[in-house]
Amino acid sequence: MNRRKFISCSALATGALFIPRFLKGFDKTPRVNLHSENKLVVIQLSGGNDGLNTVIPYNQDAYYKLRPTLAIRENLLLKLTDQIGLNGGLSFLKDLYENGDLCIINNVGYPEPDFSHFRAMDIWHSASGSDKMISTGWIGRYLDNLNVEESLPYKAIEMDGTLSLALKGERINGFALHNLRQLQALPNKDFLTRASHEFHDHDNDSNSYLYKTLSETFSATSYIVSKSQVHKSNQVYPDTKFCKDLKNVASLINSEADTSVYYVSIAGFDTHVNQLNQQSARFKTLNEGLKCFIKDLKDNKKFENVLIMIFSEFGRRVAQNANNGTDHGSANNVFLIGGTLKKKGTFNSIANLNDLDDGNLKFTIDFRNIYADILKNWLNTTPDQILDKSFPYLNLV
Amino acid sequence: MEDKKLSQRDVQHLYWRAGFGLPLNKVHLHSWNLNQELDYIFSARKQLEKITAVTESSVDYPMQMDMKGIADDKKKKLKKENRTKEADVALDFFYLMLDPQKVLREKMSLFWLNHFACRFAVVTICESFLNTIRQNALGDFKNLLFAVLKHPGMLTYLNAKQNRKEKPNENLARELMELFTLGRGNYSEQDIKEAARALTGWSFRKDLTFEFRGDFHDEGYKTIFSQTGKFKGDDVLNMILERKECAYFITKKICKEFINENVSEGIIRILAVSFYESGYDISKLLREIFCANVFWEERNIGSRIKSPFELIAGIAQITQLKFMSLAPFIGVQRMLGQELFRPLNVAGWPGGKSWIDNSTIISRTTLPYIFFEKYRTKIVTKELYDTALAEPSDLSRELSSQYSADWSLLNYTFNQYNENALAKKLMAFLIQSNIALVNTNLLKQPKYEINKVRGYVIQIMSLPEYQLC
Repeated sequence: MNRRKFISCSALATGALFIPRFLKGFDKTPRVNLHSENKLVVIQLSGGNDGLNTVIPYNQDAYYKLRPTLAIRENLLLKLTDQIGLNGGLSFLKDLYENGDLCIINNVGYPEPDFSHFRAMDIWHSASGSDKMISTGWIGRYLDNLNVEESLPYKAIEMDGTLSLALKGERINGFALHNLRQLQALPNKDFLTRASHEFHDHDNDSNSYLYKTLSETFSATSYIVSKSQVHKSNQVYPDTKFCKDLKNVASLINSEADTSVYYVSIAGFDTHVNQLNQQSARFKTLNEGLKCFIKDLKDNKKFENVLIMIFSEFGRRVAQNANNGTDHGSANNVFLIGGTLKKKGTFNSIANLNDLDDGNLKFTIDFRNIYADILKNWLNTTPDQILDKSFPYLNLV
Repeated sequence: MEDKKLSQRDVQHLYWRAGFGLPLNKVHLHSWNLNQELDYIFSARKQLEKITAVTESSVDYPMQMDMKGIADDKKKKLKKENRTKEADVALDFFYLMLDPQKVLREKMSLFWLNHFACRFAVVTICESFLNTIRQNALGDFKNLLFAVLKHPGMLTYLNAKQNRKEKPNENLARELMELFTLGRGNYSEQDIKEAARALTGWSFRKDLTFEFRGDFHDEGYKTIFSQTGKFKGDDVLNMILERKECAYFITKKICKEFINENVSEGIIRILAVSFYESGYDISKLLREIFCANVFWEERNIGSRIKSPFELIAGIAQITQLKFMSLAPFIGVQRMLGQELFRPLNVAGWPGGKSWIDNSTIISRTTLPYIFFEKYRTKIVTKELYDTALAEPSDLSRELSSQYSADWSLLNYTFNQYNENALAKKLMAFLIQSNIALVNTNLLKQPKYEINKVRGYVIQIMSLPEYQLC
């Protein structure tokens, strides 16, 4: 137990008992949570990243046979093992791999895969099977399960203007954070604040919910504003939206904001046409962004507290198409990055490209096994209540 | 019950559920009679104005998205044209919602569009699907079900063409039972497998008419709901409609939409029996709902969260709001989380509290300032996964001055009141929840505004209470 944790625990054990009840209500400091120091950062590659040109099975002849113009030649890739290498644009991920800070999980998917972006993303966000529709997300249900008296929407923050399904719970939603200045400068903010103070219609459940969401939005905004000014990053990030989002996440983590999950997206991976250029442009942003982000965390001694998961809604067809691109596929790789991984390097090898399922990689790991592992072993919660059935842990983290 | 005399709040309640609020020309009346208002509302049944944005366009939109052999840049252009036209169809539909005498058809169509949730590859199919729904929205559910299930839009979306005797695809059979008619627990996995076999061979021609392909159909015996026979697709639909569970499932969903989420099992059962016995007459069911005691209970008035379309249409009906171009129309829908023809998945939008999160509540309360006060906001929405369909450059620009409104009808209706009475009168007109609990002093007196009605209305519309109906 470190010093900070020790102090906050002992405060609860002694001093807190003597605080009068009515004052506790005004005490807006985050409640003691023994595991609050573990942060999860989810990075979503929207559009269906081509996993086979990300982690390349260069020892499989079928890869070169099925992708005559798209396959990445052996001398251009960053070899990790005698079987696989990384896309040349992901040099920083290779560094992480060598340091034991990266774990690659191959052939991740689910039964009866869906090839529509919307539905596939829906499945990954809600953590449902492809035969079920669930209207809440796995991180949202994680929030529901925190068992805190008052909801803390800033427990999970998405760096976007609108909130993804992944962060929507039954009772509690995550927080969509795009433009703090805009949130602070609403044309009718004073009016709404006064209205919230004078709200009395408590019998009307919907009305109470609206006011609750509104006042939480205001309080979360001022919380995040105050936190983001504590520790401004000195790190120079590239000037892209994705990298700026990572910078904001780093400054919140480094300021010890009481947020457990951050959600960041980078789009443009739907590479039906001229894939090589398109994918390497995205990888450049991803690689540089991660490099700055992790340096920023390490400079502030926070890297050990952070787990990054990188996923995409599906992988792409093994064979290339007629336009030097690839079409929607199924199983894909998932990356975990962290300073304290239990499983370092590669978790499993890439499935046999000669044994395909209708032109697609066969999945061997259900993505919900990874969620279950993160929920249990990183976020210290009970996955069975969050995922609709029990998934064995892979003990990755 | 039909003789019921209605108070102003009552009649507003009726019109919020049957449409998008009380029409301004009915505000000045001092008494309303339920029967008369229902006759007015149900006159929508007699009128059907087709949406023709695509069919009457000078551009020849394709019937199907056959992209083989088309150059990439042209492909992108085609997709974009389709996307833009789809918003045009949605806007035509939106403007039809604003005519109070026709509104019930459009309101019910909005419901069915979410019940039979679907996405479309080409706008030709989208418009035709919408018209099919609108044509049957107030008729009988049997016709609606047959027309929708056999529509190229649904056949494509649920992979009917891939459902062939050698390799059945269960997608259509499963959603038919789970989401469209019976609901979970009222069928077995075996029923789905066998129904999928019966539905093999359903297809459509290039001109979008339905086609039964005998060569793909499985002629064998199937056992569905414990009955065995050489069933075809039509038989499956008829067998489902024979089951009372279907009437219950639909009635429950309509009650949830038109009354509230918490209507008791017993009441739903009574309404469902009547729905079943009427041969699935949708208008009759709606009329019974509007006459039911539960519809008028205090806890069901002003306690339902408006969908984004209800919110926008409610504002537009009284302010004559017009969108000057398609970009802000798409942008506003996305910002509020309900983009027409783009449901999250085949289950549609869940509605209720799920409309509200920290970003949508802010968008909703600033909406009147965006529409009427040139409040500049950058509409930031997710980049679509499919880059060919995205138009972020059109949307990310700041949206202001993209709307027009006409306040003269509102002014004419309320200009008789002095300033003190005015705020109260407008509050009573715009807010359905218990306004005794809302402090009218909250409202800033629009001293410097020439148009005082407008000054008050914008403030009231930005209250959380205005999100309820």
